[in-house]
Amino acid sequence: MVKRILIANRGEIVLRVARTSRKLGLEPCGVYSEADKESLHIKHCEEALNIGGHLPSESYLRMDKIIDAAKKLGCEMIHPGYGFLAENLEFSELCKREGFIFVGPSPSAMKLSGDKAKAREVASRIAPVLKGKEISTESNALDLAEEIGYPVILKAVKGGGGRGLRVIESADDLGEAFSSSKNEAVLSFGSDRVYIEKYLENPRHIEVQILGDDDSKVIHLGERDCSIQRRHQKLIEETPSPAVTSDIRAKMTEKAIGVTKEMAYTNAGTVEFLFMGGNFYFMELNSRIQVEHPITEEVTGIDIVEQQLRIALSRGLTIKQEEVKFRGHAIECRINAEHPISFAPYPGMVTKFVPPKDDRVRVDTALYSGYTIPPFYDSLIAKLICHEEDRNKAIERMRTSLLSFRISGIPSTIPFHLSALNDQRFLRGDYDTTFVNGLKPFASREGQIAAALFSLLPKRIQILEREKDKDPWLMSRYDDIQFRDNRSGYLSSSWKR
Amino acid sequence: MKVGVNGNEYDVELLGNKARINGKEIALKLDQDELTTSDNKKFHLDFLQEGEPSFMIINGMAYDVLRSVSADTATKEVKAPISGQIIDVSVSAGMKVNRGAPLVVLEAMKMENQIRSPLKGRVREIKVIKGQSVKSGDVLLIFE
Repeated sequence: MVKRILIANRGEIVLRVARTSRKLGLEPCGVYSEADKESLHIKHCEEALNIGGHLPSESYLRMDKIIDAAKKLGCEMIHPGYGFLAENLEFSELCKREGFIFVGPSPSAMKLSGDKAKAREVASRIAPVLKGKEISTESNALDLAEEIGYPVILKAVKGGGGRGLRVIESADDLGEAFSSSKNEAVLSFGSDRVYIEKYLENPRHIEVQILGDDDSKVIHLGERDCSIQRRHQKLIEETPSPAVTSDIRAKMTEKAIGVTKEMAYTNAGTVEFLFMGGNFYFMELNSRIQVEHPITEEVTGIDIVEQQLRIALSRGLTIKQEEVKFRGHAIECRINAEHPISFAPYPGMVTKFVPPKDDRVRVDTALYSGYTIPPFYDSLIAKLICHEEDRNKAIERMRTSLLSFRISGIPSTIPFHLSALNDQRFLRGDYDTTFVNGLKPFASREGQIAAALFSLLPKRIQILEREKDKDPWLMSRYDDIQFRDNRSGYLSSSWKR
Repeated sequence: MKVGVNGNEYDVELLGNKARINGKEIALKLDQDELTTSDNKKFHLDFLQEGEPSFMIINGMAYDVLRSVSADTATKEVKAPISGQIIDVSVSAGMKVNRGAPLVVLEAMKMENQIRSPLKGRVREIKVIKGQSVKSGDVLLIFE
């Protein structure tokens, strides 16, 4: 009887997995780095161990420390979350060897999905793929690029997260791109294997959520449109995709299930496709819980983490495809601690964090007022998820929520999201992965207020000085105590079903 | 005072609890970071980074704000925009650089940030070395 689960991650995903673990009667345990001593995820665990270190390579990527912590905490099961060790084959094998249940696919399925060149090859038996393959020398690369036609894209075989990608416009650029891509691949992924693929100029990025169990039963939970990206990293996701007709959806989900079966893949996964001109092409199969999983949960009412845990515990899938019902439209905005225009990351103290006070929106976050965002990890600080009966209503609710979401002390990408949600291309649903390039900041409406506030800044400093004398903690206190105390209630309140 | 906001110019005159903006008077009440107007609308200053231009986020919307006065205060110091670690220094003291030339690479939150020269000029002094950790606002280098 499995009693304890280690969630080997940090931040909001720990809170998310912990919530479902408790629902299933499991005790969630955690780990944290030296830099994460104040992280809220610790409070949501039954017990958590300090594994030291600051950088990921000193902490959350240290397999030995994670396994050691799992043993000390008496856990029988390990959930890797996303990022860090989530798609690390060696780690999943180590878990198995050490007698832990790893929440994810079997090592053999992970080996295949993690080898993007091999995965392409296997998937091509079932689904359309773009022209391309793995190459080992520069002259191979030149020949292949010539054969499939420029532009082409170079990708790391073991890559992910938008790293190690090089778009090549002509043969002149190939040499340099080839060597720099190989170097980056070694540094980021520990392997210099690369492959070439035909590059699509402005595709949409659409993915299908799948669930598979040990009895090779596979179902899909529909698609997510993740086309709004910067530097190949997603910013806004929605489901259903405004570009996918029911005919395409039927084909795409059928192919996604086919690829999953062909790869003998189990647990939750995401089959990613590029979509352009009514055609879709298999890109890769991601073997982790995705950051954007909440929108699928909202429209299907299915707790994906619960299914992950059930499959890992060999309890199998209890949901039949025909029982999956899709209701309404859901959008997620990823709020990052970044400058909203340059997207430069911006760690630091969050003096105020007040999410919208609205039961109908879901906020997955580990932030609180007074928390200092460390500079060592990802800049994602909150996921704002709105689910309504149709797309227009979901957009409207998202706008209202973004306007009333107070984050102070650091800049956030909220202004970016407001600009995007007021952009005609987004409103028409007519956008692709180049959306961000043509985006105009949405703000001019209240220009006179900005001018007035700016003029009042010297006065504001006087007020702050005066207030500080009265209350020495003004700048650093946890001024949103209610949120902290009600945090579990707050998070679960967003679960409408 | 003339104030430029996202490229548009506003004429602002402060009159006690009121302000005249482009000839139109509105009542304003400022309480710490919240501005209330006469029609009871609230505007929260979420974020402020002073500079030329200053960057403000008000109610989730972003504004570049510039005081429209002669700007002879050219930046001589290049400061770290964020906290992080210096992973590369591309210039040395005495070097002439063009506006936009790469100066320093700062790594923060898994991201490499190229810091570029705000002006054309000669570097007088480099204040940081490769591998060093810096805080937001620390001086990285000084121009002549």
